[in-house]
Amino acid sequence: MSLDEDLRATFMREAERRTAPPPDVAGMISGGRVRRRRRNVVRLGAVAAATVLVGSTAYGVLQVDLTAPGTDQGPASTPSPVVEEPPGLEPGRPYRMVVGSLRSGPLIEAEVTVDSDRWVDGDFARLGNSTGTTWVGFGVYEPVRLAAGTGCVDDRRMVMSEDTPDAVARQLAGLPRSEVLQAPARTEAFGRSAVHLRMRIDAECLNWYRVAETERGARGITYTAPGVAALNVIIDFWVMGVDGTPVIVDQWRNADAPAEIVYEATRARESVTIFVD
Amino acid sequence: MTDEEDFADFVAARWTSLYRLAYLLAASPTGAEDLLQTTLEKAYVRWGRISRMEYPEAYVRRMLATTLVSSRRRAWTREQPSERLPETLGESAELEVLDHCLLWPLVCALPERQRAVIVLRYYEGLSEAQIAEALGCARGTVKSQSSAAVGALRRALAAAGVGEGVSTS
Repeated sequence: MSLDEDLRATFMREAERRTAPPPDVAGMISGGRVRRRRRNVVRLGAVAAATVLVGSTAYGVLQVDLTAPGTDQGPASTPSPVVEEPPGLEPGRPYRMVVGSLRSGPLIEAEVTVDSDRWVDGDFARLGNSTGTTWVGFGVYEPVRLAAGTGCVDDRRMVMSEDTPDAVARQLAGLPRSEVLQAPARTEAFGRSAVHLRMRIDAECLNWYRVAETERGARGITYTAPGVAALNVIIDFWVMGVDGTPVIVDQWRNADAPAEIVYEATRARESVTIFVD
Repeated sequence: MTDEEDFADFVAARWTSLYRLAYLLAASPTGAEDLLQTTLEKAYVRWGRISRMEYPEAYVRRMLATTLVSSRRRAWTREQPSERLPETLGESAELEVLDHCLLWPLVCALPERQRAVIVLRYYEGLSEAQIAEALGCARGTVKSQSSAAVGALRRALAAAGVGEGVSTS
């Protein structure tokens, strides 16, 4: 039997072995309504030219529209081109991202403004040096699960995120292949009480290091140039409670990132404001 | 019948089939549930249009693959195109002995995009062009991803002592 035939047989066997759990149709409809509402917010924001949604599939509408087969402009099924290079962020322009949601339903959102025109949009914005060999970035997210095992995305081991900022901070202090540079400590940040810690992480993975699964997707921190092995990553976490829901703001850099782009990331991170929709 | 009722009927009728595809793409039961839930939420947003398509299920099945690969576009490592591909799509070498229980874990270990390509190719039976359309990428990308996946599987099988003397023609 050829490998082609073996693959077909394997897939058929594996698929038929699976027992599907019952569908949560109400959840799908509810989730779809939330997505539809966010799409309307994007259009209103664009018309107002005041704020726009940033982020791809996990955080906003833009990538959803770009990657789903077909377009939204009519029944034609011409596929939209994949975005190989995510768009840049416009300096000075407020961007809004969906961070997560309260248990009671309202969305948690964040607004951020960047200064540099070299920020690359994506699920999480990032900024590289002039040669693209080292990177910095920041993120705002509601954690659902945190890295365990090796921390690499191919290692599916994860632990459920705790319910309080102190407990989440302790979990972050124990991330795989990490070293605590600054232990968890209470502080004030983003207009709220927060717990701050700084970690060094050996982020080298076959694919990438996944810090967390968030409300809207995975949070990874491995960025390299071709042929360059991933270096240690220095990452600061601020964990705060937003109406009882833990939210993380992080700012990370490759260990060899130059001061100028670290400064840009700091300014972007400091511009973050978090609010409940 | 309202769009909501029509959507619920569609999900009820296609759920098992969609779940199985989601499982193969995500390579885990939890991943499959997340992938399917996210995809159907998106489908609900567009249901008025999707329901009028000739083959709504085919469209939703392709949305599963698109959602998988797009939701994984986080950490950005630039791909370096391989100068020499181990084989092209469609070539297969004979394997003397193959433990089917061995092949699935190896498939699960593939990067998501490679796995998506071979699932669409060997389970969904899509052509290169159809896979490219489903994933929103070039046919060349599909070809290289498929070659990379097959090559990785062959090497892993060889390392496990299966298919000794495998050669490319």
